[in-house]
Amino acid sequence: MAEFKKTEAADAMDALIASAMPYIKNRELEEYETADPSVVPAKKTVPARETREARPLPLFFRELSKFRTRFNLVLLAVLFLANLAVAAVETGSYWQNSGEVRNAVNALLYEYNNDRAAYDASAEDYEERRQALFYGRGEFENRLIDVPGYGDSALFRDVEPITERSRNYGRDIRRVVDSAVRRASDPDVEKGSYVYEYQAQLILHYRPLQDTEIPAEGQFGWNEYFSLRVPAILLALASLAVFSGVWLGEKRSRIVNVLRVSKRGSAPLILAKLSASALVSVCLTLAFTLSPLAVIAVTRGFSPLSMPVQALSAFEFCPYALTVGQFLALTVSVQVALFLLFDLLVVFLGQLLDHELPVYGILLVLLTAGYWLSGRQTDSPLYGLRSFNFIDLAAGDFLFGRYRALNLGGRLVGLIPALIALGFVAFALLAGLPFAVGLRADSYRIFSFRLPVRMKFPKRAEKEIRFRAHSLSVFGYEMSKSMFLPVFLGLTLFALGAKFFVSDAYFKPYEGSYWEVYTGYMAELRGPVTEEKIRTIEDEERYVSQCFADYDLAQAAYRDGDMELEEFREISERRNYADLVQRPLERIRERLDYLTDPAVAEKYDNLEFLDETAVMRLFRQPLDYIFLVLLTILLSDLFIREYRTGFKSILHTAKNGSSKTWGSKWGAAFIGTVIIWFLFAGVDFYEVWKTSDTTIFSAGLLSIPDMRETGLDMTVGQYLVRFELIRLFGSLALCAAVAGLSALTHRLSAQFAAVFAVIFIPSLLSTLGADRFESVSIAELLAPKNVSGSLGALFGWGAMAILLVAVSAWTWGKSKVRFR
Amino acid sequence: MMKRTICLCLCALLAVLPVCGCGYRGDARAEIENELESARAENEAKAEAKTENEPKPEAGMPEQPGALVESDTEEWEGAVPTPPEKVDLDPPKTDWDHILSSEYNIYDNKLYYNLQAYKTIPSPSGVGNNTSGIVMHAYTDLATLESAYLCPDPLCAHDDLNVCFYIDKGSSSPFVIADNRTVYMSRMDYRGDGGRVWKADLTNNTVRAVYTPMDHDLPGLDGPDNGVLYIYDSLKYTDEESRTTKRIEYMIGLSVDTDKMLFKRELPEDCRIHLIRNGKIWYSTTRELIRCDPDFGNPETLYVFKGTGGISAWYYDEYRDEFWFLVIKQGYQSGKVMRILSDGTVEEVIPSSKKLIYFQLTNSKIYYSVYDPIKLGEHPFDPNGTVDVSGGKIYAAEREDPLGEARLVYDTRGEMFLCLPGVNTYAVFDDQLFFRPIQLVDDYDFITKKTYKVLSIAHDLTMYRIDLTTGEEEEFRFE
Repeated sequence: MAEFKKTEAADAMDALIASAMPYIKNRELEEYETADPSVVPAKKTVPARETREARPLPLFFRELSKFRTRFNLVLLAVLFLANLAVAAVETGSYWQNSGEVRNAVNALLYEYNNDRAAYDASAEDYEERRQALFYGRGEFENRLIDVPGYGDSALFRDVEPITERSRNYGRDIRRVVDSAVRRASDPDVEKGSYVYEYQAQLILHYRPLQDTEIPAEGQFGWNEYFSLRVPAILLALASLAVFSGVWLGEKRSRIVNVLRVSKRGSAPLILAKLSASALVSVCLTLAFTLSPLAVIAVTRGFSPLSMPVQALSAFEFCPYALTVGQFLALTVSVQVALFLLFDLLVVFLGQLLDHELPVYGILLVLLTAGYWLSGRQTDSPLYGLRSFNFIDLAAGDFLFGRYRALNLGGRLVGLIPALIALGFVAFALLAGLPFAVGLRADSYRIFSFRLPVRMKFPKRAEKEIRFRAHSLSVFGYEMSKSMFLPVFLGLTLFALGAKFFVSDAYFKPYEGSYWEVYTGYMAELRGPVTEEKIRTIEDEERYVSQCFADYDLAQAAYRDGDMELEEFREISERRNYADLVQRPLERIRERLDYLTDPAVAEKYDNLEFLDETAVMRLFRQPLDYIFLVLLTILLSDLFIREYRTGFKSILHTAKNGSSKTWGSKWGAAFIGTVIIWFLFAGVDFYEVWKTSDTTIFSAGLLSIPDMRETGLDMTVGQYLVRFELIRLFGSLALCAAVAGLSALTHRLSAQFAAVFAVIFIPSLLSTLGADRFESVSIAELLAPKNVSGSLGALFGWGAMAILLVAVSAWTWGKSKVRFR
Repeated sequence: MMKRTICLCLCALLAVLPVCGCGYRGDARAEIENELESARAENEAKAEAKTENEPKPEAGMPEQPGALVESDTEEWEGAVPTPPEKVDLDPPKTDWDHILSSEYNIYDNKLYYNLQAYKTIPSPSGVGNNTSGIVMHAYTDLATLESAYLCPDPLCAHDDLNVCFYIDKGSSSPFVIADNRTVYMSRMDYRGDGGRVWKADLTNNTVRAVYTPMDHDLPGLDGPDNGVLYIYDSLKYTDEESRTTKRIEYMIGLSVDTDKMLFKRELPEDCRIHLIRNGKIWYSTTRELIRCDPDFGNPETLYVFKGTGGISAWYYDEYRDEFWFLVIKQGYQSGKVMRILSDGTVEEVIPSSKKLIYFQLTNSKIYYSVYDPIKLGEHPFDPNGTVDVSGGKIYAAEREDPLGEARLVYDTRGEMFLCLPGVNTYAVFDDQLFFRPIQLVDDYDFITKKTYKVLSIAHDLTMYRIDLTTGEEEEFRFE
């Protein structure tokens, strides 16, 4: 029976293929049809050259070759170059003189090892010069090394930790071991408890290290290499772009049903895809993680691989006796294993979800969750899971920097064994599930939401149908397509809700009586500094000290029966008041001293008392990723939609299809961006309005001591307008970048990869503390730290926006949809 | 299908292997366990030996009044409990056994204290670093004389509020010990603006908030006694017109077992609780020292204050049910030590003519310092100038004969500063003197525009120990 069905199905598929073949020109189908099943099993004999050339590639190599698309190659090349560039930027401050620097470090350490008196004299001399500079007694002169980007200060900053670790490593480790022994042998620590087991593991791991000799030798390159976090981020991005489409070629070519019935179309194909993905994953990981070594070899040079890894400052407490070389091998192995799992997950999600976008969405959520997890604090129930966050694990060295363990309900489990176990489970699942899911039949229809028959609304009678006298304008259509689709409106509302939730927490006023009293004072003193206000403060100060003095006298009088309880109670309540206001009043006094400081008061106008807490939170607000992600999603499909649906070719021939549509699209995008910006800024203003006094906007900016560094003589309101204009400009630049890239890339996967590379990565890196990326990041405009310091970003992003708009005009006018 | 299932099972089996490997105990591990076992036995023996060497309570000591046994906490819901029945207390085994103090915190032979430092620590918001005063919780085991941070992780750098929970920003962070494994801490939350009471489990190195105060200020802590942690919270009502603030104080009882609130009651007006022990509350008003039942019934006025000043340091001898306290007046020139016996009799132990500025009670001795000022320089507000009031001297007398011959047990000879009444104190346990150093620092006064020398607690996470018999000095410098 089963055979009959199979035959019947095969016949049906044959008929289908036969009918489809005239319309499908598919390279992949040809490949599968021609792939020889006998090739995969190992052939011991090497065929003759002609035969080998004539034979089709084995399935594995076919799958491997599919990664060699133009998109993948370009993207990987860009990311790879970015990886090298980041390593060069991070470590290249004195690359031309790295040899001299190494010589100077080695010479000073040679002195330390062989002539301690000379070294001490050099150190003392350096300290004297430093002190002289510090106390303004003279200029600092480099005597040991003076090359661009590196001087005596940097030399001693490099050498002193080396000598200190060489001297104290054994002592530090003994301290750890002794402390662990002391705690574990404390009768109060239950045997078998988490803390007992943890201490036992520390003794087990660190005791063998306490006699390790750390040589006082130059360390070059390794600290910088292991501190690089960018390769992991770029690698994750590359993985997302490369592996999310492993299954989509077949699905988009509509040959899945053919594959399902072909001889090697299911399990062997899945195996080949997984094997090829695994191989590519390993190669990519090795390329991205090891390539910075080549750059750092030039910019800094490397100290020997045979040095104990504990000699490196970040790994003093590495619990394993490893050389730097072994540590490097382990770190890279961890990254290879982790990214193998990550890439298999991407492949599997692509297989399951049939589209890149949900894959990106899910992984973005996972990565965000990982980032969020990495910030969990000790009081959080999820603190124990902090070690599992992808951000730390992807760095590779996280597992070996120090001993780490998990506390599972009071039981200790080493982090490494736990991760190995989880890795095996994940690997088993990610290798097994693709086979379990298999190739799902292609239904030859697109997904659409359908109401159940019973719920369908009755069709309108024909007489009710009214023809519309006027159709929407091109701009109106574009506006409705770009911004007012129900899904986009829903998304915008959802993002606004999230923004409101986040802002509400961010602008939440400080709690406690200190802040309550302080804001009360500020409300009372609000406005310019006047003699009356100065008198008020002085009066309050006098009152406070009087209350304390009165209390001491009243206490004696009350105790001695010279004062009634009622009167003493009143004095006690005054003293309570003095207690309560004393510290906030000191803060008010500091503010008064600042506002009346001649250096400020004579130079700037409108100096006033004000409570700047809320407005400073607005000015110091971190980059709004909700806004960033929302605009990216809304605008990414702006031009791609037409290419994706094939409508571009029709537009190309239509009267209003080129310049008018192009202009309308941009108009819709900019207007939509401005509307969304207003909504988001509105949420911020609402929070500021709710928690702050709005009259402070007319006060001078320099009324706020934290703004003194700006040196701007303007009002808070003017600064706020400038600040918001920069943010608006940043939003428009973001719009231009996303929509412009949409016009260039033509494919959503490429679009998201490009947006990630151009917008998200620099923003993420600057958020994570890589200061060098601040100036090129859109964060400089969307969350400016200082309105006068954003000029470079304004010009840079402005030029880029204009360029992208112009290039989009050119591509829109030229390009058509390519039918494949 | 069967093949797939078998494959998945094999993979799962493979995955479990490393977990099983966690339980593997090799020779090295066995050796460590043996070592820890013997170290543990040694520690216990040391504690035992110390106990045996300590002076035993003398014959003829008053019969101990007893302590409370565990009460059925359910009965306490909504009201302060009535005193439960009493049980016998073992006689003190060490010189500090059964002595509770306002000045230090000892639980089971461990001396707990706060250390202070200025440190540059990552900001709680994650953006940048802040340099601020921090407090570190630490302890010294009085049996082994070993000191450590309360944080049970020897690898912790104790420099990140997000990672180490046993540091706090600010200058004070009260904490009480429940049972050497559980600590209750009153400290700010990560934003540094809202006080909470946190429960730390030192055995599992976990923490969680158990109480949020009504006005978000740091609450006071006491106990735990009979499984109840006492939290002192307050509400403040300020009248802007009259510039007065009425404080309503509350006592909240929290079950140590369930962390549930057992009761919350308003405290009497002008009440400062010193101690809750043996079914009695000891508290002061401006005029009186009072002992009463846990529901504030049956108040007994034990001492009436005269003139200025008040109780500066107190000790409660739980075994003998005696309350010792130092009454000190402004100017530090008339400090006297009083004792209240279990029957409420009040005795003057050391008269004001002795001018005590600080004292410490143990089971066998009294250690004290007297007003013996050394002028160190001018002070912007104090006409007497900056003064080391103790003169750096510590005397010891027999507890049973405090007015007998007093022995000078330590003299700093002006090399360091010992005692700053009301700010920092010393404690002597078994001839080991413990104190946090005080240093002479420059202080710039904005009003007079001058720099003065003032005494301040050294901000360097240091605790000194000096053996008073051998003169051996040890500096516990935490890093």
